[in-house]
Amino acid sequence: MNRREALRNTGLALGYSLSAGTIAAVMNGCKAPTETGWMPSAIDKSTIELIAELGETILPATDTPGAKDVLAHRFVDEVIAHAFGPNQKAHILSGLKNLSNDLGGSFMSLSTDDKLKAVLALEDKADSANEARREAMKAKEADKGDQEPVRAGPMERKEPESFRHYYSELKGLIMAGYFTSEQVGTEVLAYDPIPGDYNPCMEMTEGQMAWTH
Amino acid sequence: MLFNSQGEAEVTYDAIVVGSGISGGWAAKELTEKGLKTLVLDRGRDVKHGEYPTASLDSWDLPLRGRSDYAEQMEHYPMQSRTGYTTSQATKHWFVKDSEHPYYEDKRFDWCRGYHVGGRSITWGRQVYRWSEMDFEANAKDGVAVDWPIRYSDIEPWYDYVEQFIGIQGMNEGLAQVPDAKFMGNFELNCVEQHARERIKKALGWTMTIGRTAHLTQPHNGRGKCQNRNRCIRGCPYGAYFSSQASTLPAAMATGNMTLRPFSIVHSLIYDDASGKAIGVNVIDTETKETYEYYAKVIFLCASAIASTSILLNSKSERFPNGMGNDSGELGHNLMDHHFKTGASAEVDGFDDKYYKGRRPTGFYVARTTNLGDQASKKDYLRGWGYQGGARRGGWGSMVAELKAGPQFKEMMGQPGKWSMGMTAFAEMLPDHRNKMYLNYDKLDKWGVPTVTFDCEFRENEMAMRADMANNAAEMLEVSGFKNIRTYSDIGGPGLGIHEMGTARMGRDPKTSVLNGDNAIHAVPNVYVTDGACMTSSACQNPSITYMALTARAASHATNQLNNNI
Repeated sequence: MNRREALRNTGLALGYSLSAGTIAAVMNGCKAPTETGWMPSAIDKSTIELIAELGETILPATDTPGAKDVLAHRFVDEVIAHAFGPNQKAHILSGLKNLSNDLGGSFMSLSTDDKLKAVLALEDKADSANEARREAMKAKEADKGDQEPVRAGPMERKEPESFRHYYSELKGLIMAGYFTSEQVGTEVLAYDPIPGDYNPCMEMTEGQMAWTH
Repeated sequence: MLFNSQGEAEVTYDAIVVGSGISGGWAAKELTEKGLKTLVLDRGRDVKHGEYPTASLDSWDLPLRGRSDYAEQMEHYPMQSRTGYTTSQATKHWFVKDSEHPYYEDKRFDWCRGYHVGGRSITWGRQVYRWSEMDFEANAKDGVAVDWPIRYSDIEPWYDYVEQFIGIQGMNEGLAQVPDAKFMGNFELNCVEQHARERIKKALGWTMTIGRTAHLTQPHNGRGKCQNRNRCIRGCPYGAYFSSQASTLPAAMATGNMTLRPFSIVHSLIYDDASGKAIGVNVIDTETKETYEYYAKVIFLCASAIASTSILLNSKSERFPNGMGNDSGELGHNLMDHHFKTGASAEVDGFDDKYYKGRRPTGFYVARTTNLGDQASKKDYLRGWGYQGGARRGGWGSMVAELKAGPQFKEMMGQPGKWSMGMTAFAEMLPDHRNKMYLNYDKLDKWGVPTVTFDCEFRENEMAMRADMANNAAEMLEVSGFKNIRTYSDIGGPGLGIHEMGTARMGRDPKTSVLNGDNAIHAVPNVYVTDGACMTSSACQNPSITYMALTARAASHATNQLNNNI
């Protein structure tokens, strides 16, 4: 079923609210494509396999899908290839060269528990680097005093020059790839594409998930 | 019929409206409903109600899940993309490519444009705040620029009129600085916002209310009610917010009096010395580059502040060597926007058992708190600002200190996160003759039309209020009992508010203004300008509802003049 058409039509039937269930029934027609035949464009093959495994360690399959199930690593590659500017791309690609070492060298062959330990160690390393960067930026701000920069000249769109630790950038992409995927958006999170009415204040109930954006 | 005839009868109308956005749609509706055969010209493609290609797409349906393609941004949207949101995968088709429609800057000015039928009525922020008597009196009282030729009582019935047609929601608060309006209902503040409203009122006496918007909370005039999807900027399939497509253009079409011609750049107006009036417009077809002349008894310029002003500047004649209606030398000057990008945010404890359902398409509004006429609110700078913001629960992007990875982490990331509240101030920018746009005759666009250069900046009065803009926001969060309060400020350049105005201002004196109190050019009484160009000051409220009211008022004036054969 062509769900875009279906949604478009429901949209044009002015003014009626549809239940989430009705819409979910329409949505479940589409599934993610399989791994066969896909090649990364920004990242080399062994690194992308490592990222897939890293993703699965951060967001493992349980009774809900894991990062591999929703191909979060493909999203990571796609964003780095097409959405990142040159500085950001160079930053993460140069960082990724160290990913294998930063995870202890033989990450793929570790047990699930040891994989998690290796990831948490890298988390700590990234946290310290980010904290140092924040302090440096704060000091720089303090040097400037209270003066707000007045941008009087014509300004080209400028790319940032400084970024968080590459692992934090990478984890952010894995998280985004997971939580903005169709399967997670419709089956894990609370999917409510056409809410109808707005309830400004409802009591949380057990198992309430965040609304899908 | 429009395209293959050279006969004068078929190129002559009672009225011509240039532009079909918020102002142009209203001009079209009013003029056609009063029986005038009206030609509506838009430089962009036609867009019919419902033709909103991304309106029902989820994040996973969009390329890069909605993120912008960097190479494409750099090639086609280097300036349009400065907003950070307008040229996303979900909305870029509503904004022009800079590569096709270049402009230039002596100083940074973010000129965000949508060239298609309906213009920015599709993508506007939908906030509707009336201007008050203190706004219309301000220039005269402060000795700034020139006096508005109208007062609140002149526009009040027209606010009533346009609000009732488009359907708006909000709460009447009895405030002098943002007058009550004809609301059909209102969205509610969420639990945290309601808590803040009460605390702020009690501790500071300031009013936090629901953001007043042109959304329907019940069906109205054949349009559906808001479904709380908050995908408005992509176009609403329900017609639940005001756009030309959903509201004014169908009304104009229903009269049988409207001819809509897309792909039509109005290059200049044709002036007739004998009558002292404009008799028509010069049009370039964007597809064929052929030129046409169309004639009418009355012309409404509603092409947006900068575009309408450009058309007048480019309409040169012996009588008007510096552009039509430019006897004062003010045409293109006094350019204004709002300055913003400052405010505060905080984390909120104590509401973890509360959530909301639905994506309400507006936040809260805090009405202006400074220079309200009493001693207590008087500051050493002029005018003031309002705040727009909201409280929400974070999702998977939130930080959790104790958990970083693994099954529990995944579970927690999918649950509603911490509550936070943030707000941004939107402030008045004073008119200043030095702030201007002008035409480049040595840099023509691909249709041979002169391009625009901006020379405009925020000045002393704007800078003087910014510390209070951030600090008052922090104070409100503090009295609400919130924690980890952070302020921010990053002024950027003008234009980013997408509220450009003032370049053909209204005034009482032809020597110092372009338009009279009826929005007509002082010296060319059958040409009306009713978009942002007409504004004599910027106030701090979002201006669109005022453009609508002024347009309806001017259309009434124009038809009265025609009926009286003036």
